[in-house]
Amino acid sequence: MPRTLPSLGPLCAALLVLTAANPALAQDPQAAPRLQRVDLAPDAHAYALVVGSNPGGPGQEPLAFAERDAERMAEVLTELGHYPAGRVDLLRAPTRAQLTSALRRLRQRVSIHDARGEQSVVFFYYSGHAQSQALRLGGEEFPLSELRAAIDALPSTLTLVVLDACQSGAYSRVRGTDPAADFSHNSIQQLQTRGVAVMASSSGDELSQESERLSAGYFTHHLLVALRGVADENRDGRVALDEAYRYAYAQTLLDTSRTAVGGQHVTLDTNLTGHGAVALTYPARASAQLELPAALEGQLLITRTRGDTVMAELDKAAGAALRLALPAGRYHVLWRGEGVIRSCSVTLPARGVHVLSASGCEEITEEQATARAADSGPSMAWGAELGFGFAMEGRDSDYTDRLDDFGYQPGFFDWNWNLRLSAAVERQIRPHLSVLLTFDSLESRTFDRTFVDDSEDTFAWRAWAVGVQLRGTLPLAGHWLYGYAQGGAGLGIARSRFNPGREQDPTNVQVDYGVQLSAALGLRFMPWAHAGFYLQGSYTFAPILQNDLGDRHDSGGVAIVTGLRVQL
Amino acid sequence: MTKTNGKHLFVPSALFATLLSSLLFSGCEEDVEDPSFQAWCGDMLCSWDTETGRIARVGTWHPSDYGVELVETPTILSQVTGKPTSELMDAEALEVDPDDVESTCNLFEGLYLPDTNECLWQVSTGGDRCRRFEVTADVADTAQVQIEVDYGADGSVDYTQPMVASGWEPVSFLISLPEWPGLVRYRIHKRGEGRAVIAHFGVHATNECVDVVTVDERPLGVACDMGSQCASDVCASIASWQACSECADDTGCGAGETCQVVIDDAHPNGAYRACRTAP
Repeated sequence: MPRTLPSLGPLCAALLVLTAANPALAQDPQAAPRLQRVDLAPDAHAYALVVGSNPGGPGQEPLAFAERDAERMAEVLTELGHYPAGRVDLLRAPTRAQLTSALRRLRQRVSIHDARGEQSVVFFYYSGHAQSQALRLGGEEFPLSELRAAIDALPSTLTLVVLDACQSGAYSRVRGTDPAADFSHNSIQQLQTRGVAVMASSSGDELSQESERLSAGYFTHHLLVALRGVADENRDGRVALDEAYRYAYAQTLLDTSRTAVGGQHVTLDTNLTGHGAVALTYPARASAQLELPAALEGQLLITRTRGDTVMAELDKAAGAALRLALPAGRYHVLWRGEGVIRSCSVTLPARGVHVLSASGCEEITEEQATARAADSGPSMAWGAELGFGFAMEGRDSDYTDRLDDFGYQPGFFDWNWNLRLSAAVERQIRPHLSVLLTFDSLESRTFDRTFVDDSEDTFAWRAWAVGVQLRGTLPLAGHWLYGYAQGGAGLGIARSRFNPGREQDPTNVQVDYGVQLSAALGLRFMPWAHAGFYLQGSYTFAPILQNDLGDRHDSGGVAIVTGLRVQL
Repeated sequence: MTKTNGKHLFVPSALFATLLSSLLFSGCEEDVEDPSFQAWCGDMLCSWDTETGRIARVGTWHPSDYGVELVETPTILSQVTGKPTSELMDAEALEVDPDDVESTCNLFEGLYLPDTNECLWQVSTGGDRCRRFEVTADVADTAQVQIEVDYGADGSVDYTQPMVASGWEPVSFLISLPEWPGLVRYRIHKRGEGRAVIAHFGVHATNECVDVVTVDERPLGVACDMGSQCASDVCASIASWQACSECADDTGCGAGETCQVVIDDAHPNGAYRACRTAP
């Protein structure tokens, strides 16, 4: 549940824009136009420009899910909307120049079809911060007037535009917190020109919110769920614009009314005179579907196992079957109904319909369900870390004592610490649990022995460790600070080089192998959804080097490492 | 700068450096060459003599860091160290012009030998009479390895100490030298059966000994003050110094012989006087 935030001024969140010449806000979903079939040719060329921007402007905190919302929208358009992947242009955190360039490129492509007399559809989606008169692209503004001009200039048969404009709070992330502005109203008014229509996620005096639980904006999440088939009221296998709107309206209002910020009302404005109902997606044609049978009723939370992404959260009433078009893969369904709570594991094949049934589920307790729901937070499937730091201790050993016995002294650059390089690839296997493949440079040592004739024997070695570690992660503050602990084992490798000072003796290189064990505690700072920093303290036990007298040297020790982290 | 025979005499830089290092560093250097047995000439050590038996090159803590194994019983490794009381000046090495040998010799109160244009000069005058031995070895008790010290390198062992060094643990001990400067022969003598591998045999001059060894049987060529200090009972003047000799003057020599200054490889401690047939 989103946290309560202080009451902020009126603002809006998302807009869906269609060709329109007559501005008319549709606040009541029942009053939304029941549209007939659109007159688009089946082979109409479809283009999408999907934009997500997390960074905030001055005084704005970055959003957590705007870019992810854009990615998911692009996925749905490609999977179910028959938008060819090559014609879906996804921009993450673009600059003003990049957005302008993308709009210009879009116009050029559509103009070709127009010149040939071919029909075309354009879908524009934006999720991010905004102020009353402009979209916020990080430190830059993109005026709505400029957006309107660009959309007006598109010679497409049908233009669909989604704007998800927001400013955020730390937890529930209220979108659009400029109290002096009415982004929803202004944007609709400004975009309400010939060939343009608007649907907004909230009315002019409301706020829009992101959901920690859903890892998405409320409106975008429910719109996506609608597009996956839940909103197909007439069971014709397609989700029309008005169907998606009615579902998104109801679910967004229901969800947000429970928050302290208050409910947000999705608005729709269309003018499709001469056109019929606009089909946005075609879930019935999807190769993989999950069917909720007619008799099933209750609340369902459907989560994709990979990445732990919430794909749908819906209330299913008995009476009619419902099908969701989902990517093939493994899912978890938390089903509350008939007085029991069920946990269901579902595998959707690449082709076919999987029917959810109680027999395939296990009953769980409320505590287990709560824990399961708590796990449905922001997630990542893959992560990568690259850092550097310093390694200490683990310096002296029987091995180095033996070197001393034989007259060797630490070299000039053999200090009491070493530069430590560290890299890791992380794969999440469970919520809060992941597996890492790690690489660490452990140490680099040099010992010299000088003779009376100034000849010098040099013995040097470098040691590395590769391993597999298990990491448990615990969120400490929001989605920007995590703590973690990890441990594991792997292979330690040491390459030693004995370089006799006398020329007649060749350099002797040896490679030693051994088991290394490692454990670490760390903090992860994630100011951005996909990138951040980490700070880690670790201890490695790596008795790899061994001399001919049986002495071993531990190349590990304590290390402090900091670096960059990216995650997907 | 000294004016001699109307010519300016310059002390060559190499000679100066030799003298300076002799003064400054005589007590700090390693006393033996190749103390870690790294320099091998084939199957033999380059800087050590194998007097008896057989040795082998073996790895120690690392296969490329060698030690010497005393294979047979007995096996004796030895090395003569130190400086003689006197020797012929190596004018070429010291960058002394042949025309300046005599003047240089006079400058350093040496004995100029006009027939060969050479200079006999005193090169060892003193220094610390104590040595610290540092040994790293793996020697079985049954090998009965002992360290033998031959003062004056005249072939007679003057001091013996068992080498108690096993498991490659470094051991260190002090040995006093006689009060007189001269050559010293160190011997490593394996007398029994068993493994004996030595990785390091370091000898450093030090002043830690509480006493010095009095040996009043100095060999020929060693510096002396009186005849009772010499095995020959004769202490004769050579130039600016005295050395144990066979004669002090012609009195004791046979017919046709004179008491001459002799430089003899058989007595490496330096020049001495002996009765020889007059040329």
